[in-house]
Amino acid sequence: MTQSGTGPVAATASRRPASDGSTHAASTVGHPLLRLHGVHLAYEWADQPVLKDVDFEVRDGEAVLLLGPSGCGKSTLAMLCAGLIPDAVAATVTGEVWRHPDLQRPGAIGYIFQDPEAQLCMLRVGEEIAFGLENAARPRADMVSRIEHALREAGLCVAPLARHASFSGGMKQKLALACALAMHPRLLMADEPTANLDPQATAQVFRQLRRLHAAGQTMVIIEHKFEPLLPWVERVVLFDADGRVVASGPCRETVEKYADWLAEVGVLPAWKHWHARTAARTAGQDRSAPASQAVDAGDRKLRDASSPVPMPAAVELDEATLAYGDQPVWQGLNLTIPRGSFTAIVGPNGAGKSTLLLVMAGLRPLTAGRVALFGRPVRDWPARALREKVVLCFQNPEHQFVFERVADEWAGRLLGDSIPAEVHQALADHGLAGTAEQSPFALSQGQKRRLSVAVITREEHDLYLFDEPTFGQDARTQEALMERLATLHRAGKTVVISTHDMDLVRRFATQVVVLADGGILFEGTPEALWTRPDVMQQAHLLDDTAWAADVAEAGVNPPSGREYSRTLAGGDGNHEPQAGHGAVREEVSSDGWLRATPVRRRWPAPLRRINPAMQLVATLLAVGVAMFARNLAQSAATLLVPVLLAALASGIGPIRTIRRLAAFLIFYILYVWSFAAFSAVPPGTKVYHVLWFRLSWLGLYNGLVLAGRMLGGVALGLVLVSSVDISRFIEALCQNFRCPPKFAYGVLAGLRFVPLFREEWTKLRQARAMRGKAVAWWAQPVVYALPLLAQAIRMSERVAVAMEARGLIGRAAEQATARTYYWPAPVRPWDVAYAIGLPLVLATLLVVLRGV
Amino acid sequence: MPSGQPAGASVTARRERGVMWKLREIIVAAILSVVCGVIYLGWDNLTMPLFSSTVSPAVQGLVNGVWWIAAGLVAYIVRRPFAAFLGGLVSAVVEFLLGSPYGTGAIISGLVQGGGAEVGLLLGGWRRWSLPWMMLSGAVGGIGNTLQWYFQYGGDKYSAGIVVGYLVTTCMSGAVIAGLIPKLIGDALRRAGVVRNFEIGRQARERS
Repeated sequence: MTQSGTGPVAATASRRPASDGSTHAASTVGHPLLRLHGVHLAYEWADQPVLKDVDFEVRDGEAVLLLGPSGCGKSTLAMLCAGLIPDAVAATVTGEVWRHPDLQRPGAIGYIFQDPEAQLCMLRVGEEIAFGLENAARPRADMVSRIEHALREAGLCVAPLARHASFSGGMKQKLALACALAMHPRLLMADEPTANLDPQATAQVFRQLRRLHAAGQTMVIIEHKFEPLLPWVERVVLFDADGRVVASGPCRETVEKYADWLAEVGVLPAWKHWHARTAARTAGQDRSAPASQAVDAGDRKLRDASSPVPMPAAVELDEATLAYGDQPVWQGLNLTIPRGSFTAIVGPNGAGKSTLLLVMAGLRPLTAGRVALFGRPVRDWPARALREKVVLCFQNPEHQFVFERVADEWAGRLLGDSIPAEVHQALADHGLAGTAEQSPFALSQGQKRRLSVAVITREEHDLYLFDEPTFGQDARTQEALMERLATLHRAGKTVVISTHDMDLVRRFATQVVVLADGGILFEGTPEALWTRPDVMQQAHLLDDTAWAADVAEAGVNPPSGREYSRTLAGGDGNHEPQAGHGAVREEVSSDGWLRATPVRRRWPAPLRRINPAMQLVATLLAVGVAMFARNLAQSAATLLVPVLLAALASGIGPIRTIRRLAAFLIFYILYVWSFAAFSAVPPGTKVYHVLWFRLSWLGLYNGLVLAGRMLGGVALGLVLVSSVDISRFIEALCQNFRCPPKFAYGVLAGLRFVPLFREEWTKLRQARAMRGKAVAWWAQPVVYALPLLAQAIRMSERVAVAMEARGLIGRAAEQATARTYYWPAPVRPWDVAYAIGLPLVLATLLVVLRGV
Repeated sequence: MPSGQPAGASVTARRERGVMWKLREIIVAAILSVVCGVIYLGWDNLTMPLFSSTVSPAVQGLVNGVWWIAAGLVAYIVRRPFAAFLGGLVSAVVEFLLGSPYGTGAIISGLVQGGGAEVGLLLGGWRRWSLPWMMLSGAVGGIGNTLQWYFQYGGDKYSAGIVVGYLVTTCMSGAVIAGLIPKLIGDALRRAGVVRNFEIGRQARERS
């Protein structure tokens, strides 16, 4: 363990950060850790370099903030600093990059990325944190204590055996932080760590960063929502859109000095009035009524224009309930959205805001209750009329792209070779000049959003629904977008948005709906909401870092010492997943590998103790042996042996074994039929001619033999899936078969995405329906292939970079012996006995039964 | 305070080296295979009532190509040795994990179909990615499929005419569904700009 590593992290637990508002002392900043001089960087596919003549330095103990418009190369610079470029991401780099020798150690540079989904690669909390430690070849004994410590450091109160798939975005980001901290990084890179989070989760992440920094952690932060960072980050570096450094200096002074420039290039949204508010915050801590400072005269005028009109409301929900399965998302909602209003729906991640918009668009039926649009129940609207009246803009613009060319996309039909001038003009009006011939998927994030909004506002509607329209956009695009929505509103249209951006709510909305904890917590004007800190607290809407975190620590998320020791109890010892362990998540989502159905282990599971790699060997050999079953008795034996194993030794029990296999009953009846109907028979055998089928008893017999042994293969698979844990399986493949770790872990990272695709598919279907381009079910795979695969490929690139940032690189990636493993996979005598025994038993049975 | 002597090291124009698989290529292969595995599962349950129990096996072969789309798709995008094999295998494992009625037989299908498609590409030295080569690869994958059918799924119970018919229709199906279609999808993804970090994108840039 290096000295530099333990110092800052160990100190944090005991030391409280400096009180709110005071700037971190500059005296702790030490010698340079990293220096770039005259660096140019160009990606292979691009004409222009991303970074031009960049000088950059990070000193020990310093926190540096990188600011600049979207696409200016901030993330590229961070990846270059961390050594991910050019190793993980190919690019041409010239100039000088110097790193302190301390940074050469594996894990010395920790990295937190933007997308919570794309930076985790294992299934459970403990093994996730261990992944980096394994790559750095830490001994296993060391991992357990480091995992426990890192969880505490990151403020995440969960058991190491908990599965993180069900975590919220905020918890996932904290887990990513824990993964980085477990490595005791000298330098922590945080690339928009809060981009996907609600205000409270954002505040919590900032709070943890601040604590770490106060304890001496060096860090580089890229962040759009940078205001809360200003009080404690020492230095800021400003980039322009061409990837040049414009200025670098003390944080607050530099930002204030360049405020106009920042607003001009689109880093600072003009409506945020940030200096007024930050000044007020540091001076008077006046938190009770910040709204009064932010709402200017112009906004008021806008609101007055939209005073209530006595007409049927745009949307009326009456005792509306929506549930996934038997889990309610929200219930008993009573909500009226007046015509001509600008309504913002806010609330924590996962409150069901997007679902509510889908219901309003008539794309998702309610589980119970009624929804009416413009005074008429949704189900009474003819589909076409509804599409003309209401339109929904999805959070991910790609979901609603239908065509492969921007011009076609805008026109809503294939235009052919000659694109009319008015299409070019219209695209230019939306800031999309010169993109007519491109693929919509190849546009930048901002352009995609502008295109999707342009498309849905092209035709006139009465109700416009936008799901997080400003998500992932820089200030300039946000500004243009909100201006567009305001224009619709001024024209008398009803606009409903969901958002996390409370500034935007304050600036534009006439009505706020707070959706949290399965119901509506608040409905009224933004001004009224700001007088209800209790509601804002409960709905995770507080963006004031210090306050939110203080309150959270006191009540909402209490990580008291005792609680920690209890939840972390699974973190030591053998990590043996057992019944009655108390880990609820484990119970909920650990059936098989890829399905989420509840499991209760009442049946003995001795097979779970067998080495997973040896189980694979046993299964493959047994499948091979079973192919030699030629008569009915042999076939029955190859079926019965694995069925008995599954029922009695894999932990799922007889009933579930039968139920699983029964699911294939119809399939196998048809299978037997196809033999009975088409099998070749020796001359003289009785054949019944029915239609074009040639039925024979011999064919039926053949079919039964084959079906028996094939179903035996299914049962063997069931035994394997029920008694092997996939993470352990992957680790065993590396340890026992020397499988190159990057293949084993890379494939596992890909398999994690199965459940995600189901969601993507649903969204694609809804988005198509929205655009009146619904696709017959049989054609869906063809039509959805492009958007689905495009999403998958981008995701895989992000995952790969994140995994390489966590040390799956060089020898640790190529050689199984160059790293250590969290799940030991010894090959003991009984493992070998099973691997040989199972196929041997089957072979013996086949020999004994051959004459029957 | 660390005592390491700061030593200058310049990073200049370093390009990707060798033909070794990169991590992102492995993950992309896995993710594409996951998507295909889901499609296979649907195809398992769809083809049995519609084709396998209603028409002669000689005609059933026409629907087979779907089951090794991943081999062609992964290979066409990643363009590394054994990409087709990996795609075929992983997609089949996903199909198995999701609950295919073929059970462990699905994994063997992945091995033989992916292996067959790989042989087709090997004949081109893993350097030829034009339509005829992709279709050849898909067709050879069909030979692998037919072998498994003959030995494991009871193909030997049918008359020689049916077996030959099955082989021919399966190879035709493979050439079109597992050769032509992956190429079309791959080209569409290239136009969409999402695969520019992969060999397919790099080779397209070098040609132009």
